[in-house]
Amino acid sequence: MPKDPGDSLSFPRETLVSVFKRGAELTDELLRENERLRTKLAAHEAENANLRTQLASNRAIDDLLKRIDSLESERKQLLAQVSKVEEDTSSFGERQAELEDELSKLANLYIASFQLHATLLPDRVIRHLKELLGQLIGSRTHAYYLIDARTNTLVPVASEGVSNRLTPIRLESQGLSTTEAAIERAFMTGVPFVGEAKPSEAADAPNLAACIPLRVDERLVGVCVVFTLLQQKERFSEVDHELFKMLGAHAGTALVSSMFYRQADGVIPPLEILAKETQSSNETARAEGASKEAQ
Amino acid sequence: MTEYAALVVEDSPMMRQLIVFALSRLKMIKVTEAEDGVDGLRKLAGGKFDIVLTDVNMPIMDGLKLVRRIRTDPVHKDVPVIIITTEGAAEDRKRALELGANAYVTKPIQAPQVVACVKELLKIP
Repeated sequence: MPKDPGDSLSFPRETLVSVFKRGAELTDELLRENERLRTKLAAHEAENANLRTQLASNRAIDDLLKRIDSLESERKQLLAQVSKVEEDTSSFGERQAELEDELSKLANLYIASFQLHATLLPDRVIRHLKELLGQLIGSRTHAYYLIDARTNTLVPVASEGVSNRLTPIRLESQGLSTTEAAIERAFMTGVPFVGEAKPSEAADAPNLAACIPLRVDERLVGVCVVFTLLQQKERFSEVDHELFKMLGAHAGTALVSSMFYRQADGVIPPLEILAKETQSSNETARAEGASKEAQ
Repeated sequence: MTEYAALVVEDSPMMRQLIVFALSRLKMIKVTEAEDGVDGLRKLAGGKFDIVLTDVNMPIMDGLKLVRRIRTDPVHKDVPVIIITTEGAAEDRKRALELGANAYVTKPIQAPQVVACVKELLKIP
């Protein structure tokens, strides 16, 4: 017998309700799971994004570190170059200072000889000679002596700062003071004496700082004597020695020339004198040349 | 390049030439020379100078009198003055500086010494 459809329907309805409920629960569960998975996915994506960012940042840091290394190396090179340039600059500076010093010494010598030979007037020559010792060398007291061949005496012809009147020095005579004897010796031997800037205080020491024989060509004609130096002058410098050499070679010539000029009342001798000298000099040179060729 | 005007007052031609040589090393200084204090004042009156270098012992008017006159001159009262002298005593230096000199250099001089002094006073690097 067939079942009552109502009965048959009541059972499945409950079942269906139960199934629907179960289905609804499952759907809810699925939705929740879905939501949970979405959240999890979002979290993973966020984490992934973070990791990507971090990775990119690490790469950037790597790049930056490499750049820093490169810049550091460049900096070291530049510092080395700067150090080299500084060294070179300092070396150039020192060299320039040395050259300026040398130039200054040459200027002193040039100016001294220029002024000395710029005149033939005895009073100007003497003025220049005094200035040379006083201003360029730093002498406080000094004198120039010339030889008087007739009396064999060194006669003072100019002096500066000497309180007592200087007396002539008769060569090879008895009773000369230590200082006079030192002056005589320099003249007789032709050897210059350049001592300490401050003369020795010993009783038997000559009271002079320098004594320079003066020559005209090879002939001794006098001496230049520096007795004392300026307070601030502590020692003779390299340029002083050069100035003394210049004085030895030029002061005598300047003095003697000025004496001749004064004796001639400033009249310049006839030019034939020079012409004859030149002719004679040329003939001598030719003869010497011919003699060498013959040898 | 700035050009400066310097007045050198010195009676010794040798020293004058040496000072002029020293100044020539600066390449930017036009130098006028005077033989004594009076000549120096005359040159000062006829121009505008940036620095004066003067000796002390000179005929007619000495360097110290010149410094005094410069310090009362409306045009040049602030001009730096360098004394170049044989007088090396401390009291001479003190006196010159008290009168208004800006620097005191004792002879004998070397060009680099004068150059350094001028550069310092004119603030030339």
